[in-house]
Amino acid sequence: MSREALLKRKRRWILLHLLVLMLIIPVIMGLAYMLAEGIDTERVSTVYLPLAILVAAYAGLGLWKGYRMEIPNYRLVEIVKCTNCGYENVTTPKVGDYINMEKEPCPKCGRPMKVFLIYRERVRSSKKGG
Amino acid sequence: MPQGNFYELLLWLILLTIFAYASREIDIFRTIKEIEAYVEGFRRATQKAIETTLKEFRNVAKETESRRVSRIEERVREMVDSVFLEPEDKDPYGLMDKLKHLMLVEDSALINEIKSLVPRAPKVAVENLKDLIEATRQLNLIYKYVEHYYRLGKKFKSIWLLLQLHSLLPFLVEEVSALESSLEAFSKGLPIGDSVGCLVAARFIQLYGKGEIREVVEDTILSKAEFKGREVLVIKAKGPSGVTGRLDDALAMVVKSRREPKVIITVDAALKLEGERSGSIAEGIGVAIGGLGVEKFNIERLATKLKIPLYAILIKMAGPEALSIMSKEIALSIDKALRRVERVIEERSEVGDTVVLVGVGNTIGVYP
Repeated sequence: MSREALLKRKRRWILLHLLVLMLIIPVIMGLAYMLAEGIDTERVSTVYLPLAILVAAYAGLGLWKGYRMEIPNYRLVEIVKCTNCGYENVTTPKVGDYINMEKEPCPKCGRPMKVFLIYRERVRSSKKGG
Repeated sequence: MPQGNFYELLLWLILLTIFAYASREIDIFRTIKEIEAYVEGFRRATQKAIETTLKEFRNVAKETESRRVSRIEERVREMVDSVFLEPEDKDPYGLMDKLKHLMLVEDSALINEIKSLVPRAPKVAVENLKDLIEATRQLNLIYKYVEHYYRLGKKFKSIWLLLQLHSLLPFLVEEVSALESSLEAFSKGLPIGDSVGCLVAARFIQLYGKGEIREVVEDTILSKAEFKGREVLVIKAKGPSGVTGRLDDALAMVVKSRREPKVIITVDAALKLEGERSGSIAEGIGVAIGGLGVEKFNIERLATKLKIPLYAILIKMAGPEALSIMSKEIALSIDKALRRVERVIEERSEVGDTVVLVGVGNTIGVYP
């Protein structure tokens, strides 16, 4: 799945669980109030309140999972190497670059430099979801 | 039996029946919704592929000042919708030859069609556009088939049909992800994971080649190299455009025009299993070539006829990795694969022997 699709999915997931959490918190507060006031104590304490807490815990867990969902991010790397002295230069590939393509002369020895490798590398951001 | 108990029992039975029915309905509903989400994802991927292909066509047309820009959208959509009809296999005799013929016809028809739309485009751009069309076509095909079975299952409320489709979705998602990620590589012309076999062959030419590189068959090169007293004939697709070459024809030509090779080694990317590491190397006996199997068949036939041992070096990667821009893990495995090739040549041939090394895969972004 593309990065955009994953980002969309992450946003939707977080939003859904946040909505459930926002709805269930007032319910829990209401039930706690009923318990404190002694209204229908038996049902509230044995059925409604545990059920509401369970839903809140599930939504909270979902929210946490959504926040931790990592969206892979990549950067392109091109290694240009001198065919004579082995001097290396790491850059970003341009459209049309290919492996073994001749590039500008080596700044050290002046001999031609060639594209040695082109690859993509995963960038790990310190903040999850990056 | 007291009447109250009887009615309660009846009520329970009715409730249980309703529950059993509802549970099945909920199951179907959940499966349908899940498949629906995937179908929508596949539709979006196909749409993105068509847009990327059209954008690339327009870019090439603009760069090369081609005049038929107005026809591009219509023709690209037609090309994406066109299908490859596999030959009749009720009589399997000559099946591979028929398949090869159809493949070559399809290839040249697609190239001619692209050339007619962007007549001044360079060969590299034409080949990359062809790869883009092929990836888009495959995405379109997957989307259409999945949607077909989804609609059929929904129409007849067939849980079994829907469950079968549902169980196949993880594999289809892998394939769609692979094709989706190939779009960036094909539009930029950068090497993909599948190019690793060609890259190993190119490195071998760089290290031990004698300088002479000839295009022996269309889009396929042959280079002579010398390694520890052995003559190594390296065959690979001619880069840097996105072609796979005609490796079987090149090999047949080598065998016909020179003395028989002692060993044939093929290097290619291979699908890894979930527990395996990307970029790990495996050795094998046989021919490492994917696709429809025509080239594999032809090389096997040739080698069997002449009793030439076939060895393979496989570089493992996941499906999406094979078609997206080459990952660092795979790029770093090239040296390891090269050492394995050298070891196989050293161990399985004698000084003075001729060895054929075939770099298999799409050579996009790799020269020669």
